[in-house]
Parts: sequence; C-alpha cells; structure tokens
Amino acid sequence: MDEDAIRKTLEGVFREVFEDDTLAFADSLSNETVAQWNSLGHIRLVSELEEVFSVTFTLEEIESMTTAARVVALLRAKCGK
Amino acid sequence: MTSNHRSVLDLPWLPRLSDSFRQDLRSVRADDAQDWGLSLRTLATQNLGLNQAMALARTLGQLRALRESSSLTPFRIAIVSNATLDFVVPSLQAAALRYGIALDVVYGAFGQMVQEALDPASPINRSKPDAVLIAVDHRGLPFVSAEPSALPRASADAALAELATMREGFRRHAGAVCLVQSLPAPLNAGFGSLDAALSGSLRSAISDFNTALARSIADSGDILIDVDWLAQSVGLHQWYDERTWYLGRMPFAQQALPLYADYVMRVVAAMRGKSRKCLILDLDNTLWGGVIGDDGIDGIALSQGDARGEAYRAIQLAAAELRRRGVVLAVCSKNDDDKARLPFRSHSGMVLKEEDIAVFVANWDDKATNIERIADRLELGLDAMVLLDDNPVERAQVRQAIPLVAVPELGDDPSDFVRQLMWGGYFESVSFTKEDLQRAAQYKVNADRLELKERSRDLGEFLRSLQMEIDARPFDASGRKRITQLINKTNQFNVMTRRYTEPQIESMEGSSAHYTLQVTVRDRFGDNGMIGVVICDKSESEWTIDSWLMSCRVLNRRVEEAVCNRVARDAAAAGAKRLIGRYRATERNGMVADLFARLGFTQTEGDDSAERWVLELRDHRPFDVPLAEKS
Repeated sequence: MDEDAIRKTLEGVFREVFEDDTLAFADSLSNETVAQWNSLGHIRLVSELEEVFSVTFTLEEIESMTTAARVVALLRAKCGK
Repeated sequence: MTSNHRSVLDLPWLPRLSDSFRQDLRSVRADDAQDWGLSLRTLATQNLGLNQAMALARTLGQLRALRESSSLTPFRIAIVSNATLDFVVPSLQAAALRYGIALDVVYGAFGQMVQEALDPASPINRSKPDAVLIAVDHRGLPFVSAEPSALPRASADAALAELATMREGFRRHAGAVCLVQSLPAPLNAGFGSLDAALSGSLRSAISDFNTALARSIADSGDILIDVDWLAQSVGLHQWYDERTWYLGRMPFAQQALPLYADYVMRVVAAMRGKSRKCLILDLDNTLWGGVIGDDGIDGIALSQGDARGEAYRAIQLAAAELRRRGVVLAVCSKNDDDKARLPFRSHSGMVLKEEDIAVFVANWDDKATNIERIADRLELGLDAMVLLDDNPVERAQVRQAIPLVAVPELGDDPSDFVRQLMWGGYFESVSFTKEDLQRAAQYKVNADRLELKERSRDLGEFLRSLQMEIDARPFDASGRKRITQLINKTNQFNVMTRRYTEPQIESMEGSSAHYTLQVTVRDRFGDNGMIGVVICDKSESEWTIDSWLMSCRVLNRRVEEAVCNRVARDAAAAGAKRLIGRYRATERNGMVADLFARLGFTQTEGDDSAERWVLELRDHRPFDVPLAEKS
C-alpha cells in the first residue's frame, strides 16, 4: 500500500472512530487536537487500524501512536512499499 | 476437520451490519413523525461494531432529550468494577435498544466498589438504580493470601467476603438487585493440569469462588451473569487481551465487547419480562431435511443413524426441551396442511408431536401474515416471537414486514442451527418455577379455545360449544386464600372495590348475616379455576350485594347472568323480596357501570358514596344461559 492510499484510508478510519464526518486528515492531527481522541478513543483507533490494515501493534507502538504522522509512519513500515 | 463456524464474537445470529447504517440513523434523527424508539430498536438488531454502537448510543441520548418513546422501557443500571468498564457504556445502550430498553448508566468511581456500596450517600446509592452490575475482575480481588510463606496461596474466602459486603450494601442502601458476574478462569496455569486439582492454585480458587457464588445466588434476589461461561465460549485466549489491560485496565478484549453487552442486556431484558415466549418453527429443511411436498414421507431426512437426520432431530430435541421449560411452540410452513402434518403422524424419526404445537399453520399465505395470526391466537405480542427458518428469503421478508419478531440468521448447515438459535439468548430466564412447566400446555389450551371461537358461526353457538359448567358454593376454608387474593387484586369487574383481609373472609364463612359465593367455571378445554366472588348482607326482606367481582378471564361468557340467577334464586328461597346492587365508580371499573342495568335492576336513589339499584325478585325471570350448574 503506498502512502497516499494509506492516508486516504486513514481519513475514513479517523472520521468513523472519532465520529467527525468533516474531519480532514493531516499529519498534524494528534490526541491533543482531536476531540474524541482520549484514552478510550485511542484504544478504539488501534482496534480499527488493526482490523482495517490487518496488522498488529506492540504495546510500545500503541503508546507512541499519539499523532497522525506517527500512525502513517508505523503503517508504512508494516504494510507500505 | 477444521471448523468453519463463524465466531461467536460476531454475534452470528444477528443480521450482518447494513451498508446504510449511518444513513438510516440520520433519517431516524430527521423524522419527527415516526416512533423513534421502534426505529432505533430495529437498527440495533444487527451485528454492530464499536463505532456503530457509539453512534447509536449518541442518537439515543439526543432523541431522549427531545421526547421519550413509549416503545422503550426505561431502565437504570449502575456499574461498579475493579477494572475499567466505562468503555462498555455505549455498547450496553446499543444492546439494550435491541431488547426495547432505554438504558441509563450510572458509572461508579474507579476503585471505589466497596465504598459505593457501603456509603448510603454514595453517587450510586443516591441514584436509586434498578440494578447494580458488579463487574469484578479476578485481578482486582484479594485471591492471593497475605501469607507469604504458603505456596500455593490462593483462596476464594476474602474475595467472596468482599463481594458479599458489596451485595449487602447495595441491596440495603440502593434497594437494587445486584447482577453479579462469575469470573473467567485465569489464562495461565502455574503448574498445568495440576492447577485444577491443587487447592490453593489461582485456578482452583477462582473455580471455588464461582461455585460458592452460584450457590449464594439462589433465593437471594440477586442475579448471576455467567461471564465464566461467556469467556469459555469465546475462548480464553481470545477473551483476554494483555495489551489493553496494561494500557487501561480493560478486563477483556475489545472484540468481545458487543457479545458481552448483549449477554448482560438479555438478563436485564429477562428481568423486565421481555424474554421471548414463543418459538415459531418452519418445517421443510428446518425440522427435517428435504421438502415433504416433493420428497414424500420416505424421502425426508430424519432418521437416527443418518447424519443429516441426526442434525434435524437435534433441532427438534432442542425445541422440545424449550417447550418443557415453558416456551410455546408454533409451526409456520408453506405447505398443504395435510402434507405438513404427515411426518408428525407417520414418521418414526419425529421428536415433536402434533400436540406439542400450540398453533399449527400450514398454508400458502406469506409468513408475516401467518405470524401475525399466530400471535393473535396466542394473545402474545410480536415481540414475544422467534422464527426459526432455513430460508434467507423468508427470513428477510419477515424481518422487513414485522421487525419486532426475532429471526436468527442461519447458515447453510443444519448442524449449526441449534447453536445459532441458542446463542441468540432469546429465551433467557431469571427464574424457573413449576408454573413454567405448565405454561406451554396452558397456551395450547387457550389457543384451542380461540380457534373454536373463530370457527363458530355466532357467539351463542361458541358459548354452547364450550360446554361450560359453573360451580358456585359458599366460602369455605379451602377457598379462603384464593377468595382473598381475588378480592384484593380485581379492579375491573368489581362493583364496590371493597378489600378484605383473610381473617375477615374467614369470619364470613358460616356467618348467618352474610351470603357468600365462590364461583368456579370449567369448560371443555379445562378448568379456569376460581373466577368470581359474591358477598351479600342479608336482612329479612332484602339482600344487599356488598361485593361482586369476577376475573377478566371469563368475560363475555354470560357468567354474570348465571351468577345473578343463583343469587336471586337463593335470596327468594330464603324469603327475601329484593336484591340491592351498589356500584361505586372508580378509574378502573368502568366495565360494570351498566352491569345492574343489563341484569334488569332499576336504579333508585343512591347516596354520595355509591349508586343504588333494585331487583324485585318476584318480577325476575332467570336468564337462559349456556352454563350448566354443578352445585
């Protein structure tokens, strides 16, 4: 999956998980700027990402995943080219 | 053989999530006219993911803020846990909608279970919940004894004591029923198989805990939620998720959340009498393999020793077992009636008998119409019905036309039908009494009565065909309890709504100042039991009806005329000249406002408390009633 495809899919996931149909995906999004990205939202995000991208994250990766940029980087490493 | 079973985590008995879910939800919000409670209930009846549950719960909150829906029963649940469970709230609310419940959740402060229970002014106790869900996780309970030198050192005693304290506290201060969870076995065994046999291992301590808990639940008023069994059916390795426990103390994997929520809410639904009561069975390829109309009695698969036959027999066995527990069975099949009944009458592989089926419908009408007929015949709501049907087209038609009927999704292989049906938890029960054993038979008797009524040309013919027998006798010791019960709970057919205690009833037995009757009615279908009570104050020239009440069970059968005949006859024989009837109107007894008029009484001057009606006995001719007198 190339980076553009990853970002496109991520926009859909973020919109669904954080219940915001108008959310515009950007690398700068983080758990400090997105309303529903609290500790519960974070776990739901991880679950959704694992299901949609067919990957598994380690504890360390989950804890580090607090910005959209980091999410993109992790996904690129696990399933990108 | 690898299993291709769909995982129980996907709630396989529910229809798959529709693509238009978000859109459907939006249109419920937008439409002011429709009953949003019913719409949300229908939307909840599919396999929802976590995001969908959140969206549904959010919409529920928004709509409740505008106006309540009369289709939803409100229920307040408080949750205490030693793990993090606030993430379950939206899933619980979504699952609750599936059962027709609008759920309010009060979530206890983290790590404060015992305090919430014991402090009368705690937020949970003050909120007066209908139930408190005590969702303990073994990792937060004192299973390991303080004795450092002992090995192994686990015991259930301290954990049980803590739990007992909580249950007692909530019961006393909140007046709530406690929903107590059993504990899943721990994932890892210190020794291996020996853990099960070694007293003091965590595994055997948790097992002891669950056994003691189950024993303490009976007769306590609390209810068990068997999370131990739930985790087993998911599989312990799928149930536990170490990462989410370390990240946020979540006691089980996110993937198990929809199942857990449904499992808890079906118990709450059972508490509110919302469990399903009737299983409607399709016939071809559901109760036997093949199509009876095409394959004939020798061509259908139903024999022991034949694999397909065994699968279908298992379905019949499951239905028979449900019937024994009090679930009513009905048949709804697209077939000629005589062909549909043929296997019941002639196939040796059949487990179910014709008389097990309270309503047997086999014709070529559409199933939704037939199911409505079945519901009418049984006098049950559509929300009491479950349809088991192998045909996806039929299932879809019924779901679409009458969404309140539960229609479990079935796969292609009848080997899976029993588990698909039973997983759905439609017949969840929180109690089991002797009455339940009789229930299915009672429904059948009643359905037969109603069928006869439909077939009779007029009411008179119907009443005569019932072959009713009335037995009216004075109060006595054996009837005393039931008389007292009827006097105190009958509100509709009750002219003066006077209430008496059992000692007062006792004093009327054999009293010369009172005339009393306890009335029983039998008909050709069975005994209706005691259905009426009459009390008269006797004076030399007139008898005044102090109390006259009847059960709704025998309305419109002219029983009141038969009772009037009897009282008039006895009064005349004793030398009285007239009967006096009194009627005091209440909110509930409007149906007897015209009773005395109908019986030929004349209204005279009453007083502030009640109307007064008079029947001159010498003018009274007995009514011609379709009831025979027994005594």
